[in-house]
Amino acid sequence: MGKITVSCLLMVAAALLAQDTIKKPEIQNAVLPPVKIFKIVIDPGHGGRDGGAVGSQGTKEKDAVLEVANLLAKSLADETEERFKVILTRAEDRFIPLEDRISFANQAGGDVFISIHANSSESKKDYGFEIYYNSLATDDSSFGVVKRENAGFKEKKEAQNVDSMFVLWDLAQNEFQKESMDLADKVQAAVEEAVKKPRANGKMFYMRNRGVKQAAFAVLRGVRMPAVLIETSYLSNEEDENNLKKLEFKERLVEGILTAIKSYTKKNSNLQEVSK
Amino acid sequence: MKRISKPALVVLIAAFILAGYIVVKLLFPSPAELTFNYAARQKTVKLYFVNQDGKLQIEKREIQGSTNVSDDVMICVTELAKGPKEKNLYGALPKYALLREVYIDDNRCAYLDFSKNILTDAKGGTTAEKQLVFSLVNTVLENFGQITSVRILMEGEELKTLYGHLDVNRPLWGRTLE
Ligand SMILES: [Zn+2]
Repeated sequence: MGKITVSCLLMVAAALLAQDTIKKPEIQNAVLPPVKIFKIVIDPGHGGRDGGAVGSQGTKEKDAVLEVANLLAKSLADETEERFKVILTRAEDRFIPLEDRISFANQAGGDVFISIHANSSESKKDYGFEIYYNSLATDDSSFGVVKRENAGFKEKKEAQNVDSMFVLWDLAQNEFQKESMDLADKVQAAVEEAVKKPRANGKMFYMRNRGVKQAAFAVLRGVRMPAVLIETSYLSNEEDENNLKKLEFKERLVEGILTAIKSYTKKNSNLQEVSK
Repeated sequence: MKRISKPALVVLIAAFILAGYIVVKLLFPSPAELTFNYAARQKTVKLYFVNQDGKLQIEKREIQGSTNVSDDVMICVTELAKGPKEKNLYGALPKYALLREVYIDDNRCAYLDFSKNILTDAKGGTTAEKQLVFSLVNTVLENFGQITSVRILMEGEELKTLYGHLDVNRPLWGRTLE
């Protein structure tokens, strides 16, 4: 009999506690503004004396990515249902050091950082777009110690102390690893979707989705918000350069990036309501 | 039975000892000598270039080695900068990249100090920059077992990035391009 009384009391106590935890978010929610304003930092790569990659027809990375960035800024500002505040690290053809871009984005308190670039490769056959986010500091260890089948005398490479060397590499981005990866994945999917639709003339853009990748980017290092770097196409490839010269292609890119940002921010504004 | 003269006996014994010494030396060389008796000899090095798919590919090349590791690294990287001889391969390190000095620290990290012109007219996207870094780092690590990581310097100074994408201001230890 006593046991039942005790367990009954425990259940009541548990129910009260549960109620208490449920109540809390309701109170806080009432204080929150109905719509969160997301600050989107758009970073057009290079600029000024740093032209970036150059195509065989003379297309400069710094110019092409600035156009894409400005188009993206405009379409974000035109959005009605969601509220975006757009911050451009450069709006003109000017050289801005990487450190300045990073501190500018952090000081502005950005929610998302999107760096826009155009790629090049030593092989003119390489083409397509790819989305990067910064590697976890420790990931560099798996960068593959080079296999040496026949190095004369057998000697094992000393295991590098990865932790001490790399854990501090990018603490800021490590914190946003999951979000950055999620955003990169969304951009990749949405850009592919937008680019593969038939063009106005009925033809298709010759494009390739090279997927989401990780690397140690200097411009993403120390950025205190989810951050991705978009490589829109290869200027070293003839077809890709032709694409990037077209306004229609740039609009498709922007359409894809915008869809990804909207889906990402929607998911994260929901998350905020739940977690608070 | 003929008598062997004393001097002849001495010579014979000496010859035996010498022969024995040489045989033992040839059969069981001490590890110290293998490591430190760095002979300036012709050797084959593996140089990493970029193939048509944008991936790294090895080209073997004969070089005349020097008497120390740092100079050999210098010779090897200079060969890399000359570009590939095979068809359908591309050099990722600019032809004008001039290596000023190589030194190896106590952690067996090789510092490659390039002159300013590694950045002269340097234009390239992320992939080209990756190709440059990884062809360089892989070439050094592949051919020199005593080196465990590589750092890139310019005019003796640390360098944040080459083409404005990758952070190269840290010890690098290679990776094959995916
Ligand atoms: Zn770029």
